Amino acid sequence: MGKQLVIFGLGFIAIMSLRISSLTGTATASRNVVYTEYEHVMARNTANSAVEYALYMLTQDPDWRDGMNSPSYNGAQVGLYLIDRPDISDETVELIANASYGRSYDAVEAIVELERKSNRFSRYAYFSNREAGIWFTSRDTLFGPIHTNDQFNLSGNPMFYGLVSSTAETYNTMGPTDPNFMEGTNFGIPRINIQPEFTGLSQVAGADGHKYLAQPLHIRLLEAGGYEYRDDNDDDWTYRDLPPSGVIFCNRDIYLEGTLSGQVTIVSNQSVIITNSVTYADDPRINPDSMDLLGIVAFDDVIVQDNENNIPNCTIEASILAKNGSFTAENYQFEPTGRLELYGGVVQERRGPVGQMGDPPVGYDKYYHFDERMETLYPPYYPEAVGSVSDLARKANIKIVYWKNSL
Amino acid sequence: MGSLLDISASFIIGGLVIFMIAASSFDMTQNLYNSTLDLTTQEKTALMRRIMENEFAMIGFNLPDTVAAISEIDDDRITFRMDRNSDGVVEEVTYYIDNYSADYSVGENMLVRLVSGQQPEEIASGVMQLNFSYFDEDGANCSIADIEYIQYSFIYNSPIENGEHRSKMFVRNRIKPRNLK
Repeated sequence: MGKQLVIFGLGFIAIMSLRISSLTGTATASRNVVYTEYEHVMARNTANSAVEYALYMLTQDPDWRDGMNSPSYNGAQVGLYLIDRPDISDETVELIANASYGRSYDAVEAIVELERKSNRFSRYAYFSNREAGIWFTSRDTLFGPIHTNDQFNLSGNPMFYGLVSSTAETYNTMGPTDPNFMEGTNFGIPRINIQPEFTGLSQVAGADGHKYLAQPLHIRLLEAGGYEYRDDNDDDWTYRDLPPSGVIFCNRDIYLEGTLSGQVTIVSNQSVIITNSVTYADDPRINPDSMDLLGIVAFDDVIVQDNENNIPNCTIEASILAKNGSFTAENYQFEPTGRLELYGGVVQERRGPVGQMGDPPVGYDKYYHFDERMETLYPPYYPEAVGSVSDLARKANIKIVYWKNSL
Repeated sequence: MGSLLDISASFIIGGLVIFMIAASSFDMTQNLYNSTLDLTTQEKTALMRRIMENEFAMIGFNLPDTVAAISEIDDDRITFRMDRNSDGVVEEVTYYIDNYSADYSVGENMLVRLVSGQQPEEIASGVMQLNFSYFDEDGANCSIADIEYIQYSFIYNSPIENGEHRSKMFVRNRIKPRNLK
């Protein structure tokens, strides 16, 4: 009897052990499912985070290629590599991140295009060396970055949609003043000198551009491409293609009008006189991908001529730089008022008048709008604004071409 | 007389022991069965989560700029596009619930993945309360053009129940498809 009891007891224990073992195994498998998922998510998130980190670094420094190789990154192992892809474009970078967490592994392969913030003067909607006592008021709405190497004069509620910067620590006010700085301010920064390299532009035009020396030059841009030109004392127009370098230089005044198809910077060692509207063939306000770009650079002034073409209305689509002068209108005290539309930006030594308030007002009403493309693009050889991007929060935009997790 | 008492007592004690063993074995069987159901539910849910998240992460992959990455959104349905194999063929994928029933029984509430031009692929039945939400870069609910994040959630029921026990899992996650233009 005792022997049977022992056998019975051992059998009972064996069956229970098997049951308990099965239960334990199920519990262990259940825990493993949870833990495996946790490891998988951690590996994937770590790989994604590494690429996000690289994207952030590239916005701060487009030349950053350090990557990382960390044995312990939030508990994971991670490797991050950045490879230039000149076979796609000069500004294309491939990012590869691989991460392992416990027994899980994941990797990300991404290709991005960098759009460096322009460091040229064309990146400004408005720039002056001297404000010359002219005020921004509630009637003024400005888009794009603006800067002065002086102190702004603000009154009422002017609206600024771009970053506002100046060398002065603050701005002058008159009466109740509450300006709207939608992109913030950066007052008290170092001076940004207007130092267009006229010698350099002249050399570029001489080597691979078009250079005119003796006479004032008349230029008519052609919508179909190229341009026509004539000397001041010649009535016959001559056709030329746009130069390979995109720089047309004249030692004397340039009289300019027409519709541009392509990219060109027109440089005068004296002044540029706008004889009729100057526009883009492919209007960037309709097609944001338009690649038509016009720069107008004058040693002295850029002047809207007083003629029947420009009064009452004139449209200029260009980035304008007047190194020692102003962007202004000739005989601006005409009535009734007209409309001066500028799509681009103005850089000038001092603000020049194009109209005048009063009763009645005279001259042009200003409709200035920044060409957003100039944030990253610029006309050929447009003068560099040294120090203009050093304080920017983002020095490049990133466009993700593709992003792929390997698993 | 004494041996009769011994035999009776042995039957009672032996019967109790056998009853305890049987009851214990039954409980353990039930526990094992329920645990297995839970494990299967976990594994199935994890698999569905991976399928959906891997695919959502690829929304817009390798598409021409002129092709919209997400073509249709609703609370319980989403249709999106991608060229997953980089073969130039744009795939349009829809996730939805088929054969919906508020009171779930086996074979109902089928999570379906439909690829354009192919037969619907039944991923799992028993998926309840499939819900999609769409957010812009600020985390606010948005229209199809501004989507930056997609949040999905569902409850998965095990296809088999054990008495009153039916294993369920709730999943919710928010995905940022990086290939959205």
